[in-house]
Amino acid sequence: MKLLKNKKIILIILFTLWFLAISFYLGKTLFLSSYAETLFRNEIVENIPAGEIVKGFKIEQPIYLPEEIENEDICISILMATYRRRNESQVEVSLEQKGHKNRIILYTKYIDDNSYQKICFSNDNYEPGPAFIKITGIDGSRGNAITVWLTKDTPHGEAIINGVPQEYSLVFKIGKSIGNLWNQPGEIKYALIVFMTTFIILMAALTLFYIKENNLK
Amino acid sequence: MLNAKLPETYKIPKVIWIIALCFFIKTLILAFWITPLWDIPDEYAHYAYIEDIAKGKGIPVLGKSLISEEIVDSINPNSKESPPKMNWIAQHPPAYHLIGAVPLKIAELFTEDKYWLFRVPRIISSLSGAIALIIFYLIFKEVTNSNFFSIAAVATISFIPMFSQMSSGTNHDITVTLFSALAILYWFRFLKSESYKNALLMSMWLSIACFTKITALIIAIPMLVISFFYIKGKYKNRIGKWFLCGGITGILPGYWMTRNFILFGNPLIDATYFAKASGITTKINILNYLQNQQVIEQTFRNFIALIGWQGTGKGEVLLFQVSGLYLLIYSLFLLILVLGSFFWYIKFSYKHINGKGKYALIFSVIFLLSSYFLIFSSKNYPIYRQFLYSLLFAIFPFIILSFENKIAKEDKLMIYSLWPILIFLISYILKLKELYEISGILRAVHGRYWFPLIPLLVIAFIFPFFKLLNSYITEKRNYKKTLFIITFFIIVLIISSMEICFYASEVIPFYLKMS
Repeated sequence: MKLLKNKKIILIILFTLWFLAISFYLGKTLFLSSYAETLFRNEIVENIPAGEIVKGFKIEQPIYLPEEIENEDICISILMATYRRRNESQVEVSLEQKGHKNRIILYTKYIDDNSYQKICFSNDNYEPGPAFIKITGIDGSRGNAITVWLTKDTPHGEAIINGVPQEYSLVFKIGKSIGNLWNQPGEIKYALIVFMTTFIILMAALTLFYIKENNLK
Repeated sequence: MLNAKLPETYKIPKVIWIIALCFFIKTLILAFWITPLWDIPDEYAHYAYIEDIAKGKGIPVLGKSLISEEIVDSINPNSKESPPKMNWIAQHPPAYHLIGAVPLKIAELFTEDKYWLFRVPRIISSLSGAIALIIFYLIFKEVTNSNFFSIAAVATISFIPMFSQMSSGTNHDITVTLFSALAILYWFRFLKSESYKNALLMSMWLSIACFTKITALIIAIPMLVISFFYIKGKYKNRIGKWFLCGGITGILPGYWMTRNFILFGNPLIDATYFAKASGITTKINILNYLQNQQVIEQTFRNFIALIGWQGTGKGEVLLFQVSGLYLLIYSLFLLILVLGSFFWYIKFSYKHINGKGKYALIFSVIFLLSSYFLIFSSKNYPIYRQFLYSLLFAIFPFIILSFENKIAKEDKLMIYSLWPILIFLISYILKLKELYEISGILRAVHGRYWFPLIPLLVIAFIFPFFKLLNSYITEKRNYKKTLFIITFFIIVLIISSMEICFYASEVIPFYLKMS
């Protein structure tokens, strides 16, 4: 109770903790988070879910790798849904071209409902041109599996679910890896630093005000 | 020294100047280096309007005035399909665009570079946003008499991503917010002091606000009606004074409506007139409309953030809304604040149970249950937001307390704030329903339309919670008080931090087409 009476110290500690946390978060976003530049995306038109991706469930989606990818890593973002629940299962996502295949195991526990999941594949042997995304359920069961959204916008071709061609395609984006935000050309990163600075000054001024303010009318 | 002579509620503390200055710098940075050109709703059409005035072409005429080729080309030089060239923004009155033409005209003296010329009218929104924050402070101080609450509220508003976003673009929504805020400030000063000078100032600002965007008339009407009961004098004198206020309010919008009547035969013409002429309208029941369409949900999300327009998409509309963790945090904080306010209203009505309080309580429960079960519970968004919207609806019946005589004036001001909100809500829903009937899709659910009501929303839906908590703190220098300050401080820190994190992690990657 004695400590609680010392508002000044508590507010300074809180401000310092907040400052460290926000600096860490913004630093991580600026310097450590890797991004992809979107080169292709299809639209969401009359979308339907593909069904639960349970063990053995397979979706194949033809795609076309654009030339702009060059030698950068290929990032595919797929619109997924969780049926508004937490699903603890695994899904394999692979990128295949002319017998060459890279695969990634996706743990579904932390996937957000109706969000694009970005999966980046190292570009060891891919060429511009036709390829396939394959999604395979590893251990999902009914009530504990995610799904993907399908759309009528099918410029890269229609999806094949468990061997049956559909009139729909996955909702997806194709991009190339471009590293972190700080690597990007242009003035935007400096503008963002000024933005952050005004924010920190404002919060410091507000903290000082709260330290002085005793009037709670 | 000048401040020393002013009443306590007229003084502006240093921290407010710092908030306004930081906001101005931030939005200028956004305007010139971060927000892509034409990525603010309707931006190039607003710019075309300003350009017409700056070039001496006069005020554009809806249906006739075109957006110049130069602007159309700047959206996407490689596009084969041009965006519509009719300037639909010519439906709006010109106050904002007349002001916007000033920086454009000045900039033309110094540069011919379109990078700067296309962006320079954005300064008006930055400036309007920064001044609006100062006016918001004065409003809050006037009604709440609490520096503590007023400063926290202004700081938090300055970090609403959509408020910053709109303050960085060529669009009249922030300027109309500023003029409406000035009208609201003098309205409250008039209701408090009953000095007629304030009523005249209120009318003047209402007139200017309506001349910026005609929708300000919707909030002007309840403000003028309530003002009637506070004008001093005998019957005839009172009516005369009130008509003078109405007359002043009506001058500028009256001029605009007369112009519209002469040109189109319809004083309230807007761009949908052209859609109506070519399309078929299908009538729909209002309850079905609210049940089937996410009107309130989409408005709420767009109020916090609807980023993008035709800049990033190079002519194609590319937008994204606040979602995920950010939406969760904003919604939960708001739910706590509105729930607290709801309890204050209940407690307050209970105090007046022998008067109008009982009716307020009964109708509030009816509104809570009926809005939840008839409108919100069937929606596919989380239950806490279904409950939040039902609570907002359930607060409106406390408007009945406006007719209760035994209420202190400072409490009455809070209840009066509900009137313009209610009238605006009804008009908003009816207008969107009309658009739905014309186009068959949910359109124009823009949270930014609600910006002129921000001070009233804070006073009616959030301040009562502060009052409720404050009522439990009576002694000075006790731990409860420190705990209260600290809790409030943490809320402000978290809510304020949302914006910069949202910009760094989602908005800027969106502008750079990164995912």
